[in-house]
Amino acid sequence: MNTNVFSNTSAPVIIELKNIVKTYYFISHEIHALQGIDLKIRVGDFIAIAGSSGSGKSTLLNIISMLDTPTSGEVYCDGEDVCTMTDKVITRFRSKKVGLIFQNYNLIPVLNVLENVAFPLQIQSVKRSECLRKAKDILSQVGLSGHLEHRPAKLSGGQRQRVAIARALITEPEVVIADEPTAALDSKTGMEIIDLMRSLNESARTTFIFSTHDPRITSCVNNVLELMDGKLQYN
Amino acid sequence: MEYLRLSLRNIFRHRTRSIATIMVIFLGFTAIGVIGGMVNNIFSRLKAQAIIVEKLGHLTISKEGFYLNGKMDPAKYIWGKDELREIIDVVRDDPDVEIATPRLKLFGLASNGKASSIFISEAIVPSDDERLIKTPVDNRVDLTGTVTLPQQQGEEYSVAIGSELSSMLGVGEGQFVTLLTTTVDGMANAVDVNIVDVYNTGNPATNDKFILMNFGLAQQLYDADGAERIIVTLKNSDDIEKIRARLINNIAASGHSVEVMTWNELSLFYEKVYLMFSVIFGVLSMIVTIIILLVTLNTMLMAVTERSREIGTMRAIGMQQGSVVRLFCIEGGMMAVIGCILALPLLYGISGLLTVLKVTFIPPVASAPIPIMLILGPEKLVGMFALFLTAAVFSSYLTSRNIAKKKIVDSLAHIN
Ligand SMILES: Nc1ncnc2c1ncn2[C@@H]1O[C@H](COP(=O)(O)OP(=O)(O)OP(=O)(O)O)[C@@H](O)[C@H]1O
Ligand SMILES: [Mg+2]
Repeated sequence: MNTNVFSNTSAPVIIELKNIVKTYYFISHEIHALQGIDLKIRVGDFIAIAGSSGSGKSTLLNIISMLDTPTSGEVYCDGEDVCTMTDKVITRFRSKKVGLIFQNYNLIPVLNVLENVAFPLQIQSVKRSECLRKAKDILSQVGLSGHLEHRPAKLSGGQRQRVAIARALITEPEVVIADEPTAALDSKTGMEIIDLMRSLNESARTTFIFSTHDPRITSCVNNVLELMDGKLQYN
Repeated sequence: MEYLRLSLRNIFRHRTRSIATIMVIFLGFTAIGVIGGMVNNIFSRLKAQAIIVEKLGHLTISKEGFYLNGKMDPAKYIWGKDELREIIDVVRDDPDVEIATPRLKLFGLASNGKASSIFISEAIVPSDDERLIKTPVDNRVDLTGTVTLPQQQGEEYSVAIGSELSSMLGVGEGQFVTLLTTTVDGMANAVDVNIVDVYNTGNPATNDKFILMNFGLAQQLYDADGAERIIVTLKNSDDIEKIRARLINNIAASGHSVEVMTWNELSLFYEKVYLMFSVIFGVLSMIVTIIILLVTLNTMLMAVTERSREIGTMRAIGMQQGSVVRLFCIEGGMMAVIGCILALPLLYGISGLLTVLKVTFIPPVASAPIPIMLILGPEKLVGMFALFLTAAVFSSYLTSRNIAKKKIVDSLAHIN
């Protein structure tokens, strides 16, 4: 059985995929986006998923983050079978366990930086003052203390992605999942974002799994999983 | 609270579109408020017309069967002097009764010596009538007041007549007219009366035949010492049905069986006009509500569509489907709230202006102009607000429900 060979095999498993298949039915033909993926994500992992366009990176990350369901196979989060949960339970589960970062930042334009970061906690009905206090803390960790009142439209791409990272971290998730977090950034800024993620991984043992097709990034991450035609390659 | 803040900001994201939507609600509320206010005003006037000008008071007591057979056999439906006394005493003992006054109705011919015309006469006790015409209607006294007769001794032959009857007979104030009637037993009787007042009865159907005469004179012409009806006004008419039942019981306990009618049962056109205006107003409110529903539906549909990816993001970071729907419902609801609140000062402004300018019009059922005023019943305004709010929230619910249920990956993939 394929597993993540780079993982520290003694750390507890957060998410486990077993024989995941995802097939899209497109007009009259089938697209086999994922063809039997086995994967364990453990506490403290820092994993990059590489692969060419159309190799299935987004599909895989969507299943890991419980945004999408596989055609067949099993997904476990903290040992619980995700596929049997109702949407309501999955949503609650996701908001507690998973932090998400998107390629296009996906910040809420009508909220300022501070409010955007506080938002996931507010959804969980945490007191506003508590949310804002925590959001300020995290924003200072990502170096954005000077921009609390700005709306996202006023920020550069790199700054927006930092806000998105802060937003993903505020709920203290077990794993942060990012689909091409650097694809919309120039390579220098992209590298800075990866460095920030890595330093958070090292200092706070935050677990990260992200996709990229930038070889400069994969070359400096030592835990890279290669996807090709919906299958994980080990080399 | 968070949702409210977010909804408000989203409303002002597309300023023009939101303002247009709010304007429609604002204008709808104003229009329905103005029309509703006018209709309420007409209802109040009609009520005053019935209670005071038609002199129906709140309740009319008569022998049982009077309205069915009284015209065929008047003698049978007249109380004698003692009976009348007893019944009036019982009625006046009721704590809610303000006035209880006897009445007679008389028919006959009015003649100026050359020509004659049919008349209908209501015979009143002037001292009671003086008080009756000051009865407040809908807590207002400005609606009230009409003619009555002088109370002094020696004025028993004074009458007031409808203006149309006056011009038909060519007799006016200070002149005499001869009334030909029959007694209860069918004997002919005649009397010369002195016209002290010519007035518009407010109703084209009676203005050409009406004569207001003294109760004592009517008794004399009729050759009766009692009355056929007792008119009652109440200190507070809110519980009119309860009081009616109580009066029937109390009078029955004193050994007389009577029927008691309310003013609206007796007023010829109140019920019909009330129904007509209520239907018109209902249809109008419905049309405006539907317009508001469609406009908010359109606005929210655009908002939901262009915020598809944002909705996907919010769902992805933990927002439940129900909360997404709630967010949009608050947004739609807020527009209704803003529109209606903005309309309030305008409504009260128009109302104040109409009062100051004393604009009048002649409603279809009256023969004299009445002031256009807006009676803005707060509970009606609240009802209208609730209706519009429901419409806006409902269309927000309809539009956001599907997108909230959509798969998150599909919402996130949405391109705009
Ligand atoms: N909703 C969908 N319907 C049909 N086919 C889809 C859908 N989403 C993805 N696919 C297909 O599945 C395959 C994997 O797509 P996926 O988006 O996971 O690739 P990717 O590695 O993320 O590519 P990219 O680097 O371009 O983002 C592709 O062939 C794609 O066309
Ligand atoms: Mg992708």
